[in-house]
Amino acid sequence: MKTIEDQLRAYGSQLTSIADEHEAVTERSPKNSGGVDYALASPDPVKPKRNKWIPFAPIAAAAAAIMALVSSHIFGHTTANAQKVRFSALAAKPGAQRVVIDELPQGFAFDNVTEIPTNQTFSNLLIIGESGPTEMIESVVTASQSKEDMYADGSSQLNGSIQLKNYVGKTVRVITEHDPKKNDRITQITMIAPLEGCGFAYLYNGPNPSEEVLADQLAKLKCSNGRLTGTAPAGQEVLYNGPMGSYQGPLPMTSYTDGKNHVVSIEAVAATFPEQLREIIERLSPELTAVDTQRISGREVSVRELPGVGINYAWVDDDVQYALTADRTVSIDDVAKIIRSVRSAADDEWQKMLAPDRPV
Amino acid sequence: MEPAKDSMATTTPTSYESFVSEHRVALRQAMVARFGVDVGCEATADAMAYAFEHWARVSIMTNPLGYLYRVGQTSARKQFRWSKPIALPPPDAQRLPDVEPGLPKALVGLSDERRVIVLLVHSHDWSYAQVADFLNIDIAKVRNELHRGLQQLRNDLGGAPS
Repeated sequence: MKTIEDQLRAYGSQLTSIADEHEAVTERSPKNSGGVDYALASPDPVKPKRNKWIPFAPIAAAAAAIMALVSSHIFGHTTANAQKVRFSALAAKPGAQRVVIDELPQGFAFDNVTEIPTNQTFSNLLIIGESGPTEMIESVVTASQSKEDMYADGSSQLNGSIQLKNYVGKTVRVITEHDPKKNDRITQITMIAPLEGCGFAYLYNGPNPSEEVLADQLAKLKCSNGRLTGTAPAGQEVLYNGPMGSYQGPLPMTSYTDGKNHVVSIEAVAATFPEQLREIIERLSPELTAVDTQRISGREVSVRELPGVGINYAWVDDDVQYALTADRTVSIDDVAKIIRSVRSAADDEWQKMLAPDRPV
Repeated sequence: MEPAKDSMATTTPTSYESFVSEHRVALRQAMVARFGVDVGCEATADAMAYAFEHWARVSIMTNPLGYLYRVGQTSARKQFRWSKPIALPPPDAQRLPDVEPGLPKALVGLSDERRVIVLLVHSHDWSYAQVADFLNIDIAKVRNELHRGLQQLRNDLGGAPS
């Protein structure tokens, strides 16, 4: 029997041989056959791969957009009559009104929605959501900012239409209707009201609420230091079922504005609804599945999703810190950008810490 | 096998090409020791790509290889989510008849840093000083980790004393 040292030496030789073979195969693979020609003088040239990190500066604007896309959701699902309903968080900083629509709830129809005349238009109105029509809606609305009524009809998944009406100068109803021919009409009503210091607040309601109910819900919203808090609409407890366990109770609803971007942060939720959050997260944790994980300057950042529901959570150093979006296409890079964007707005040091080229 | 360069910390190459020719194999040895062959090679390529793109900055570093090792680690981490263990190839029974089949598993059982030190010193003939420079740790720690690593391997393999 040879000594350990001898065995290690022999094994090291094998590792080197295998690595040489691996690199030879990799060099010949179609994967590395294209791209920029980094001709090297080295006899065994290395073809640099695409840098997975995008420098922060060029994507700053994009990151803000992604922020709006993926971070403006509050979580909340229910199953009712086997239909999935989601809560949305809508908010915007003053002067830059944003409306965010989560996945359109199914199983609810608002047949008698009153169209309310308006003479007020929105500027920089943005409607974003997870499902097919929302990108379409976003583009149409963006292109129709000056119009009083915005109507979009596309060929996307939901083939939806949307009408935006300003209500008494303060509230807006967003009505989204699915193709009734498919017998799965989807409608969502969203009420938005300006709250001083918090931009626009949001209320989502289930079955067609009365004006009194809406007013009552609106009155429950509080704005403090740019943070919007509130509870689920009275009498509309949310039943978590299936993949979300069996939590039943009012949905925590909060939003947070950092002065630059609207952020729905689970930290904010935790601050406002610690008990609810704890209960929800405890129920969710065993079922959360990792989507991607990346080490960002010493911080372990991962995206975890809840199978069958689709809400992504970003975990930083094993503590959930952001509730993101129902859009499962969110990548860890998107999360990194979001975190950089958020943190940089609050703390330049964070941006330095999260610089992609900083070794951990 | 290709020995590591004499000085890891003070080499300041004049060109990227010379840096690659001089240090790529050494970096790959460390990466393979740390992450296994597949991920190690990928991480090495990523690190070299990073060096290419940031050569102006990397080239003036006092320890560019150590820096790129960190870059490669960052690149490789996503391959090891949720504590997935690294994989080292089994010894070739025909080429290496005297190598214990359990050696790779025993190596994986070492801590990451300890495994890197053991493999760099005993498999790739790095000096203690080179390893210490490369990992930016004290040479005494290299010595200690190496001693403990070999002891752990002997215990795991029930092997012969050196």
